[in-house]
Amino acid sequence: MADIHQTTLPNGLRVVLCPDDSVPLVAMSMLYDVGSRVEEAGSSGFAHLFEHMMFQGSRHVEKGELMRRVHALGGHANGSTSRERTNFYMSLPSHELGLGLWMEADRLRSLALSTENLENQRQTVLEERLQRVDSTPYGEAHVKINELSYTQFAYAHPVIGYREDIASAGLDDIQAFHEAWYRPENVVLAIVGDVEIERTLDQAHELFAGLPRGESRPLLQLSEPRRMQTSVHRVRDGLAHMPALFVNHQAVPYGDPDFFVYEVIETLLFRGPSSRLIRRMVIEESTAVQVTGGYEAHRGPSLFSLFAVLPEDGEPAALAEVYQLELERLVAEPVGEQELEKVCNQLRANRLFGREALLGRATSLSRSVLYHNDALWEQRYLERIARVTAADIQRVAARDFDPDGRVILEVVTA
Amino acid sequence: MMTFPSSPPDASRPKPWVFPSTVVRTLSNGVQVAVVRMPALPIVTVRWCFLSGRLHEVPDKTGTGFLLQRLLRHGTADFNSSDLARHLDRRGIRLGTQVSVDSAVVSVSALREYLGEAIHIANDVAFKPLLPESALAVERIRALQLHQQATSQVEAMANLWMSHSLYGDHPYGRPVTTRAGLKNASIDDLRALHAQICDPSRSMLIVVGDVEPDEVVDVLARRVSGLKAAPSCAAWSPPPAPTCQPQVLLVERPGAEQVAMGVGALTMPRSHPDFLALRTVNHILGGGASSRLFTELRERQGLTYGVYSQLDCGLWGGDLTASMSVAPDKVGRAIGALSAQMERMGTGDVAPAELDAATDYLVGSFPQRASGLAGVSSLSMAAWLHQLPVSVWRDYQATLQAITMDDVEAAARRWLSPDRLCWVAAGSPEVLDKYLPEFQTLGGPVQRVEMASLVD
Repeated sequence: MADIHQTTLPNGLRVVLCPDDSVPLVAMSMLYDVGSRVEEAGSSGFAHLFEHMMFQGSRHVEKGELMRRVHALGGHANGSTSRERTNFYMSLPSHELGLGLWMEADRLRSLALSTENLENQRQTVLEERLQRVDSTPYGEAHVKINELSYTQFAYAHPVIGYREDIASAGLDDIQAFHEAWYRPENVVLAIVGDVEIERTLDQAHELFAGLPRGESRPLLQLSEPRRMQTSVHRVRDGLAHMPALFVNHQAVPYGDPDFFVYEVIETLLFRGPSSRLIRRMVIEESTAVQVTGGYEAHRGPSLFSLFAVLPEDGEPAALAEVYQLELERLVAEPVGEQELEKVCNQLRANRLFGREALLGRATSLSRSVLYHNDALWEQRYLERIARVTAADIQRVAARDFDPDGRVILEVVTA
Repeated sequence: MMTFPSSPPDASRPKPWVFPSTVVRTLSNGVQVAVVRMPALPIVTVRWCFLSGRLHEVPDKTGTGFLLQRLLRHGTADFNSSDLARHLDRRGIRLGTQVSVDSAVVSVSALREYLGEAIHIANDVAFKPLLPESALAVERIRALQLHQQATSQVEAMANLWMSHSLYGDHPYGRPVTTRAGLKNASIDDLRALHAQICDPSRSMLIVVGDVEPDEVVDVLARRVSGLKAAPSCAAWSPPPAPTCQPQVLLVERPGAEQVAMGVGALTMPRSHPDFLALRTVNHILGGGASSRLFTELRERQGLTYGVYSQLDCGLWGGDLTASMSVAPDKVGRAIGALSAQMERMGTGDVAPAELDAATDYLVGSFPQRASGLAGVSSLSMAAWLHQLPVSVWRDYQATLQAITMDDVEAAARRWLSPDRLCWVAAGSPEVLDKYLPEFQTLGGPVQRVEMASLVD
């Protein structure tokens, strides 16, 4: 097991370090506990827009300077926003870790928010939306299936936001967002790589501890009523050449004891050429061209999803029934020992290959602390996967894959 | 309360890093094996690399290579298709097959305990594939469906048209699949292409990971004994060097929400002495988020979400291209901004600070590129494929640091002068019409084509 050091600064900022000196590099994930789920109607897309604003300069770092400095060292820096969190990640030669920490601290405490920067990034985000949603086959359908799957705005709306909300975001809104969410107690800083523990903890203290803790906020309480009736919807997509199918079931959130059962079911159905759905739908019966999906876990309401692209003459409704039959098979037939062992080995290999990438490990570590409050969560993952039994799978499938609890979206071509 | 420092903490002393050493052995049957020991994690990657690829496709059967790439996973002498899939998944083994224009690869990644299995599978997939006719029928249908899906992606199609515009009928200009080619390819075509590509005399086995060279040789002796290095198929000649004339290609896609735009020029093979200087030029132009294109077109003007350039060099030629997607109302400004940046670079206008920053990035990022099994095995393959010196990766950072202002200015002027540029814009016919006067200023004849015609 890797050596992990964790500390919490007096202002609540959590720091987690995992040394690995196999190459003289470090990766850093600065994970903010703010994602699109905190947005309200009318302010969709703010978390993501704000991620862009974080690259527009701060008191001691000019606009563009962060990237220039990181690139000049051969490093890499970027950000990403999801429903749950905003992640700023960076890789650097290990001897320059102090620079990375200093730049992260500077933009947390003194971001340069200006009308000009906002306008510029608004245009960039609108272009991003045009490219990823409006110009992409099935892009609008991906937005639609989420809107249909949740009753609450928090998870129902797209992370990138609605065009009109992005267009109307004002500088005051953005400043208020920064004050509310970009607070030390709302951050997990994880560093993996060739890191000197004492020196790095000293630097983290020097750079971050002076920031005052923000005002306490009530915890987000998000839940969904249990779906009692299947709803079937149909949309037309002028960009798509082939029909497609989305099917969503409600699923358990992070922290639920059945989380690991879902991980096993996902691999069993979707991962690898011998997985049940790929084998049946794509290889043997050719009823789908592409099948993806699996467990979309959140800290709030979560989903188990299918997305399939069908042949031109494919029938989405028929494929939805095949999918439901495969889910019911999980209830009717206990999964054999060999198949369970196969899933464990697949997950073990994935985990080991995943450990090659320092950035991935840093993000995984910060997520473990933010979502599970457990820096060792990732290390215990395989042990918990190995405890999942065929009976667990039957129980969870019987409880959660109710044929009357589905949201189905059929996409037809124009 | 502590005062926040106005400058970053002092850096500590940089630590040395060297590319892991490669041991090359030649087996008694003539097959070359390169082993790179990287023991940090108990995993290995095995690659059979071949110095041949889709080049050998019959022109009206474009897509044979793609079908071969897929059929290679449909079983070997030891396993039928389903058994192979189960066998791999049960051990967490990943199998990859790739048939490019000038090379092909069978790669297997596995936990260290399955090293013997990984070598055995890579060998059987490469040299003893079943290539069953029944699987071709299934894969053909699937390939046609994927082909259909791909033709709806405007950006991807704009890239294909860019290659076609630069290379014409040269193999590098061909799409991976055409509808007609996929329909025409027979199992005999696939088997002939396989024989042409998977020729042991034009191959190398690369093993990277938690292994010792002697152990690999031992496994090979036990599992790959029947392999012969003698040529097994007819000799062939490489294609002539590609040539192109400047032109502006307007690709019509009714209903497109954005316009995908690109500009490019033919460059050189990877082994050309100008390669690293032009790679530096590419980084300055559009190699990342601090490049000229990104900072000017995205960060300053907000014209696009992403704009990058890339240098792609193969065995017989190469190209440098830049591309982006923009909203219809920004097309005019985007043409002006992209054209101004290309024109500036074409004159060799590079500041010393830009050269320093690009060199620092390329030098500093190399340990990252070479820190994983996939990266090291891909670099090892490139060295073999392009016949680069054995020490190429050990010397790589020093070679980059030796590049001068004269080198980059000369490379930029030589390869990116305005009279070498081809332009492509894919979008709705109405938008292309609206900006026709702007497109006409770009140099070279303007031609209009229908988007799918290249891949029908």
